[in-house]
Amino acid sequence: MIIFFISFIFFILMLIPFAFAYKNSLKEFATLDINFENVRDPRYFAKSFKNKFENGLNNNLENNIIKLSKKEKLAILSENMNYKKNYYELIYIDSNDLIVNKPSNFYKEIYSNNSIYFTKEHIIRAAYSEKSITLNQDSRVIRWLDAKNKVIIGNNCFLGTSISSENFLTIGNSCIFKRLYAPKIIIGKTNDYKSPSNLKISPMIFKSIKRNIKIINDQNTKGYTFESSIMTKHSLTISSNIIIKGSIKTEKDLIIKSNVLIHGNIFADGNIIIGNNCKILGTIFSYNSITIRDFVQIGQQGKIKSIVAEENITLGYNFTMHGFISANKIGKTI
Amino acid sequence: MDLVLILKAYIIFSIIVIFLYTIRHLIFTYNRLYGRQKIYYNDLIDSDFPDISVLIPMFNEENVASDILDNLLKCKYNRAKIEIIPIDDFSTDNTKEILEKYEKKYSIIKPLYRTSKKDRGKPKALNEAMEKASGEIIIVFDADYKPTKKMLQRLAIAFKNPSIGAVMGRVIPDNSNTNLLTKLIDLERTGGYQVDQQARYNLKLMPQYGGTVGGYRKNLIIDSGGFNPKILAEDTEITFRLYTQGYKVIYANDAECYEQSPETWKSRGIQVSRWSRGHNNIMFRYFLKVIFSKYMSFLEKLDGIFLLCIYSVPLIISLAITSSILLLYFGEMSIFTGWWQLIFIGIYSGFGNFAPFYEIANGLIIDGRTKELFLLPLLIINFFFYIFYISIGFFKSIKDLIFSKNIRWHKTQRFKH
Repeated sequence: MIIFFISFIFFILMLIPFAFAYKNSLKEFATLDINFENVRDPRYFAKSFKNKFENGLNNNLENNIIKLSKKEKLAILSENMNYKKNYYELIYIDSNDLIVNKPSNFYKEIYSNNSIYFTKEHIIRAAYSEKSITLNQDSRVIRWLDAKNKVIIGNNCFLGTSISSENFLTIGNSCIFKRLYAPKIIIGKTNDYKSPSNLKISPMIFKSIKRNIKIINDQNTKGYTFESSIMTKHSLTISSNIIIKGSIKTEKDLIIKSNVLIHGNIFADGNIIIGNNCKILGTIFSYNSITIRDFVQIGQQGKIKSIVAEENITLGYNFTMHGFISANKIGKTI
Repeated sequence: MDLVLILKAYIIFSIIVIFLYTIRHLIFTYNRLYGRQKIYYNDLIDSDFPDISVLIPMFNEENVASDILDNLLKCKYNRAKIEIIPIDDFSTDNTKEILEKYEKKYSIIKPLYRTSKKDRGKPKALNEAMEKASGEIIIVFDADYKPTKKMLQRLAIAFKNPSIGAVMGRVIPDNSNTNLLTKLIDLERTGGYQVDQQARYNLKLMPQYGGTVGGYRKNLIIDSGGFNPKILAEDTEITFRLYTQGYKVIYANDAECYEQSPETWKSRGIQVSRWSRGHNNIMFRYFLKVIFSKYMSFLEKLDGIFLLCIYSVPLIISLAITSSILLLYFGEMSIFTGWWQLIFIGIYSGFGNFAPFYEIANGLIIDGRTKELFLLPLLIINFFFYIFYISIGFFKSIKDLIFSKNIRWHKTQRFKH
């Protein structure tokens, strides 16, 4: 009798999870949502804000209240104002170009139809300009900056999540960033800038592949050309003055010495170090960190390329890039 | 030799196999929970994309043909660098008429009308389409799939990396609420992609090309003889071919695409049996090639062997169950005693229940679908269902190996919604 009772209890206990499961199986569950319209846009923050703000402006403003996702207070800034230390409302700049000459903290987004010039030591949550934004030294961006024409950042700034421009972006020394985008980006001194030579070679598919090499070294022949893509499970060192007509994939580190020209893309599971005066025409991706020394040019005029690191990116003096830079951890300029 | 001894030895062998697979699944689960996650190339923005040819094998797809073509036409990709090749594989419904309509309207849609009923089948259809294709990269979708706007760019960007031979996106069923079967398939897909595939990518093992929502370099496949029409699981074969040639498959978890799951147990059984037959066929062909590959790392080889043998495990388990019943009747079931017995039982039930159980539970939590966790005990139904159909597939693959006969392709039934 006891055996039957224990068996019965055992059977019931065993059935409990199945009973729950069966009951739940009769319910409808939401299908995992896929966003069909989503596409990658490095200026997404700015475009989304601009659309919302302009829609808000088109509706009537009552008592300087604007409706974006919710109703928000709006402050209108103009020239020669006595600027406050802290602004906790959205900022709208509709007058002429504006110089904010006193260190101010903007804790909500700024929208401007004209250029804005921030002198040093500002805190800005986010700002969009239809023309240009200049942010002088020792300032801090909490989220993003974007300008249609150009964005100019001084030395020693913290650059939040994203800095972007439809045309041009220049950043000073000792800045910390996460993502940068512009068809032309210059880091460091701007007046030495020369456009990279417009090489008409597609950095896409190269059929010939060399495997598992550790070094590409031909010091005797200046301009030695290596006409193949490279896939190696080792670390790879490319000596100075070499031209590579192909893409590179290393399963460990990649060290590129000075004056190297690479026509293709670079992918490394380890760190990537790019020496002085190198030109890379393609995209660069590392599962670790990327260090780029001085006078390096990435990409080509008129094309968009990327530098993406799962960890850190360090950019040297007088660095030129056409496209997008993203560091999953910390990006910094020397 | 004593039959009892053989049965006991077999049970110990099956426990070792179950134990190894359980460990594998637990490592994947742990990796997705606590390990370092490798990002795909989502962040790469590039103005140069390769020329692509999108191939869509179709056989009697009048219910879904327009949907996939409309979705592909909405995709963001340079129109000069794309062609869409729907392959009408001698359909007997209105598929051909639908394709003709699209062909007239859109210059990038260039259908291939296959006319030989005898040559029907996905591998042959893909081979013929690749001859016609002008793209250097081939992207493949099944006809019931619904690609998003970003899908083609997401898949094609992988080929910037010269070591990538193929890319695989994530499949999500959109008819999961139809019945219990579709709900359970949805759970399996979640564990399989969100955890299994991503963990294999994280750990530098062997993510698998799945034959749809994915792409590959055309020259690598053509130069190595195209698709083998005698193999039913051409996707798995491509995975192993690429790895043994020194190329990698990359998994793009963010390249998500809806699919339609089978809605009847019969069609699911046929599908799983076909996968098993094809997969085991590949196991016979690639087992030694993987072990002796000069390009694959030790971990890739290890994972490759696990992957190759995965469709033989249900048969191993079913034979172990049979052995244990026989031993029970012989009164010889006491293989281990004491604590060993607990370990024995734990491992014995491990593969069937707990290992995929953990992966699926983890996948559901990552996807934020915690209500579906209540369904997990019902996976036991699939466990026994798959043991049966996968074992049938295994025996068919043995028959294929012995008689080397031509294989007839059975398409999975579509359901109109």
